[in-house]
Amino acid sequence: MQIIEELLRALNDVISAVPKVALASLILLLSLLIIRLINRIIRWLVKTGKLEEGIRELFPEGTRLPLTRMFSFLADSLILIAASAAIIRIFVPEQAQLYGEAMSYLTRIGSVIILTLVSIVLTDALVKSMRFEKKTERFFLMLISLIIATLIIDLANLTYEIKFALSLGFAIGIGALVGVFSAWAFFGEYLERKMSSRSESSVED
Amino acid sequence: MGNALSKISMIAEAFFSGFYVSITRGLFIPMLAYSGYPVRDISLVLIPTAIGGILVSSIVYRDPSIFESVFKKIIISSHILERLMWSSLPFLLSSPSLLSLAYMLANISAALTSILIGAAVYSMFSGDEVIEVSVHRSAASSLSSLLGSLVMTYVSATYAAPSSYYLLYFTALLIGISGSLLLMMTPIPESISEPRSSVVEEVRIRSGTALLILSLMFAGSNMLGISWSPLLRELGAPVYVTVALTITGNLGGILGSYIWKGYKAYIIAMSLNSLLTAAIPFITVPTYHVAVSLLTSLTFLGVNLLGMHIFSEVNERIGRTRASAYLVSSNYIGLLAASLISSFLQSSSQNLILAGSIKLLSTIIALLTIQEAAIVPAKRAYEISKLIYSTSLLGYSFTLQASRELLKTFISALALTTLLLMLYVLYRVAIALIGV
Repeated sequence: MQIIEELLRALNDVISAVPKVALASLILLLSLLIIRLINRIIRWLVKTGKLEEGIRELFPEGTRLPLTRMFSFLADSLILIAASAAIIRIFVPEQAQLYGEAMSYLTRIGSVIILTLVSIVLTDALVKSMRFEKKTERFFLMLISLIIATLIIDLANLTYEIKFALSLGFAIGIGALVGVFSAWAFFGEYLERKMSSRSESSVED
Repeated sequence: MGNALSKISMIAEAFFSGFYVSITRGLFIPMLAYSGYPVRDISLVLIPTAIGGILVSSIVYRDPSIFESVFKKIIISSHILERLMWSSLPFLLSSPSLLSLAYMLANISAALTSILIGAAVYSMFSGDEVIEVSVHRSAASSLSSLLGSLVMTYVSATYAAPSSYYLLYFTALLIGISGSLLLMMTPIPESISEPRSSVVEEVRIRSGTALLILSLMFAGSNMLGISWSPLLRELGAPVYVTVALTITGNLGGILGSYIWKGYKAYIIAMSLNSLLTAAIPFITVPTYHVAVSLLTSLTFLGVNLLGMHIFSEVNERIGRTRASAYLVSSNYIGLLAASLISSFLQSSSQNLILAGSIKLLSTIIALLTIQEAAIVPAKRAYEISKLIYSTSLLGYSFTLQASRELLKTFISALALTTLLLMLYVLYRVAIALIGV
């Protein structure tokens, strides 16, 4: 008997949740529609304003991420965050502790997205303006992915100790990478000359 | 016989048009002012008018062949459209947006009509006949303008505000349309063919310099038109002086058509006109201004005839439509320059002295470049005009290039601002939903 009661109660819960679910899916659908519309507007604006050409004047090689993609990415993530916030509002009552946690998690996601974009664009601009070769470009790609990984750790549901250890490790790794790279970039020729003269002298011996 | 009939009908057309033009144009600004439109808006009205005229002229100049095969049909439709549009204006006073649209259309069709009528005169008559017909046309037009302004004054004084506008514009429409009917019966060529060969440099230079001279003269004359009434008001002249000014001005137009013959006479008229214009702010007795008005319009006819004469000479070479487009565009360029300059200057006497100086500059250019009347040897005059032509062409292409660049930057900045604003709005929405 108790099982049936429990079942009925569960069924009741589900039925009472139906309007909420419908509303949530409506919000999701609407946000997807808005995303498509906004992306189209962004593409049109970038094209009519000839913004890519302006960027090309600043960075002759152009950027890795086209402006359209960059703006669309930002706008889409903002819309998705807004939609998620709206959905959370529907399901979780505002006084509950979960609500506060969920919202702070959302803002963290937003920050990670923005920081990722900023780090990609900045590193890319640096690489392009210094006109590095293909191999060095790949190095910078690695650097970018490490930075992004470090940022994403913040979103993971790990204990504080693990998070700290991981990000510390990544930070040390990034620092070492940058150090090695700068040593090679600035003193590479000098070191090479030194090495070759030493090997020549050892051959003469 | 046929030719005489054509002459008479073209002159009669000018007579009908003069009446209609003097009422529709003369009443437009007062009508706006008394209907409660602010003064600032009224002065701004002139700028799109001028730009519209210049645009139409340049389109016709670039590709005169668009009218070749249906020349007569286009003339008559544009003639009728112009009259219908102008007469619709008082009925649209309640809706400013419709009014400005109709006003723009009216002006564009008016510019087109003047170009095509000019081309028709050039294609129907040859050489001296063009000058003869033009002289009679301008006299006829001045005479009917005089009649028009008398009717306008009488009707405005007798009837109350909105009904007097309706009555006047309707009368103007009827008289104007009579001109269109007359034009239908005139043996205007159904189609014309323009010379295809490229224009000789000498001709291009001559018409370019003429355009410059005429534009400067028209700029000065429009500035005079803008500042004369305010000056009279400052002097404390009674209202009838302003009305009398229009009447003597029209009389001067009639007389002037027959006084000036030949290039030397035109240039004498131009120099007299410049001096008279600059002298106006120093004449403190309002009634003397009435006489000055007679003299200024009498001498200004010399400018019109100079343009007519130069373009009647070159029209065989550059094409009749193009010659006419040059002549009409100088009028609109002058209007644009005058309305821009006048919007910066505050005092009307400053404006008048500047107008006189601009006219004097134009006279000096004419004295140096028009070979038939130049004070320098003919060969020298040609060199000077070549120099002036190339300098002004350089300035023109530079301005065009610069404004194109400016527009591009403006669009880019606008697009970027819109993008950033969009992101900001999305950000605010997200923040509001998250509730931080």
